[in-house]
Amino acid sequence: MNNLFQFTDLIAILPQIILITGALLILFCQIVLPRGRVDAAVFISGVSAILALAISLFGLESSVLESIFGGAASSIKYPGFLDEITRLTKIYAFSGHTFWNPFASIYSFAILCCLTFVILMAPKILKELDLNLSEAYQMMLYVGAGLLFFISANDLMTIFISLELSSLPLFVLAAWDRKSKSSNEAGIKYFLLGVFSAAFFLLGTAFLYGATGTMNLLDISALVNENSKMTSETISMVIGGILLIMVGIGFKVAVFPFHAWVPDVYEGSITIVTALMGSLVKIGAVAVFFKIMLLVAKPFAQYLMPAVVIFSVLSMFYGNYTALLQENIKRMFAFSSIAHAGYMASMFYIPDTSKEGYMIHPETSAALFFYVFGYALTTVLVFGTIAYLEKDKPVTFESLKGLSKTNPISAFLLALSALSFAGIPPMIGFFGKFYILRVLLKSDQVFLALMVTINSLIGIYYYARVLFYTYWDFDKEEGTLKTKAFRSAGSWASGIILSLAVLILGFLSDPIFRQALSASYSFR
Amino acid sequence: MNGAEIPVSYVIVLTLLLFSIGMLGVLTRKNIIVIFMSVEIMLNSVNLLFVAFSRFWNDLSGEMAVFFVMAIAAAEAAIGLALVISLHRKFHTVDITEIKELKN
Repeated sequence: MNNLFQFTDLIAILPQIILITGALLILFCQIVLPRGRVDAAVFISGVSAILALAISLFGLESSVLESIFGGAASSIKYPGFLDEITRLTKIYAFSGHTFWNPFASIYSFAILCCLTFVILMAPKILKELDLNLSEAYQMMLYVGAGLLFFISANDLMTIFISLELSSLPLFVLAAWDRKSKSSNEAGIKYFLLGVFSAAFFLLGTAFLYGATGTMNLLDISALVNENSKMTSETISMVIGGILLIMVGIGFKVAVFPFHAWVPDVYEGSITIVTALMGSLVKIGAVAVFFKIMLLVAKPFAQYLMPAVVIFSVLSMFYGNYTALLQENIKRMFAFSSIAHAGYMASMFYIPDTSKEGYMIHPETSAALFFYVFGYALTTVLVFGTIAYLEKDKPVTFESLKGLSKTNPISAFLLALSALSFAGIPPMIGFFGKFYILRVLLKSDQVFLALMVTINSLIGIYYYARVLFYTYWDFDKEEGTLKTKAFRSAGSWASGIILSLAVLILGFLSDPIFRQALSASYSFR
Repeated sequence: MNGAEIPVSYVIVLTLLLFSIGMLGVLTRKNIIVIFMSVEIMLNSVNLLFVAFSRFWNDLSGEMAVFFVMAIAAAEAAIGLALVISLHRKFHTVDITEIKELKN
């Protein structure tokens, strides 16, 4: 890194550049085009999301990276095990502030998939709600770009700024429905808790900086893994810093003690924005949580492990218990997302006790990715379906009665995604849970594996309720919800692709799992 | 420079005090704008810590962080106050306990 800036730096952030250029073009169109600016915004946002998606695919192939970056990528040829953290991919950009490696690529790919599907579904819904302003698409692109920076950042300050870049547009989107009181309330609640958690994240950042003297995540990782350079003071500062960062990102992942905003915000926002929040933000936050734990947690595993177990187990039980009590479908899925955050959190740092010392199993990252990817796709599908299902008032279990007769497609998609969430084979959710359980058992974490299993069983009850109400014959000719499923071509397309993905992707899990597995070596 | 510099541990204690004051403000106050001001206290206390560590390590990245945090706090204020105005039009109050359209 002799030069301050190289041309290849720009290639490393190409997807982000495309998304932000798209957002700025939308802004430009607002000034230039007197009318038809919303259509232009839909077109531009769709094209830039798909373009960025295509480019993020190139990042999955390390040979492509190598040809661009001239052999620099050769160190990602998956050597040894996790303790060799200092041997890393050399695709730094901007003096080590961001990097592009397979880890960032697979998560970018997942984020951009979900972003594309949400953008395809959004226009018709927003038009029907009379909220179809071009700024909505601009905000969605900013969220996507912020999250891409978030996962590819290698510097604590860059992580903080991209966290804010992805949060601030979401605060606006949560309060997008100006006419509705509940949307306003959702916006302000999300804003206050989001800013509050960002302050915790920042304090953690400051402590890590104070203990190590650098903000570069890899440098911090190299320093904390070298025991000789750590005094007891710096160790306590690093542990405090990591815990505070865990609190900050825990708000975004929505694990148990920091979940308070989830139900209200998910319920209050318009449903298509809920799809965006439930999928994109979850992927980004989980990726960064895992990255930080992977890089800095190893020497302190004995202190941090209890925190991770508490987060995980309490989230599962709390989410599942409260989801049992809900009558509103959106709220039910919101609470169940807390339970899913618990399953994901079980992967955050589990030392492999079958090996010497505190190492984590190499399959952890791949299992986590597969679970998060499947969860996010199913979330977009379920909230997209609900968005087209609801009219004027929220969807409750009561109103789902007889849905299979009046709206068989929506009923099928709701049932499909409920089954996937519950973890019924052959849906993608089953394979996610399978990989998580496999990693937990391989690394001798029987307690966590047991908790995941018990909670999956509890979860089946309320997911089966969705099936029960939609398909059970209640001696009624017609259901009360008379809306048609997916009333536009774009939403049909994304609905079909998503449902196929939820159905089939599990069988194709092997290549994805391999890809994710090779990506987990990015940090070695 | 004479030898009497303030040790960095003093600044850590001061920061934690200020941060706790801000945190207590967020948790106990009811007015949304006051809650938001408390969050600003938290952010500014962290700024203080960044500057202290920056001096301790003779490293400029901590001081740069302060500028970024200040810019982000301004962006947050812009969006937050806009949200509060929109909220006030609907609810005619900025008291967080009276805003309970969504059931808890």
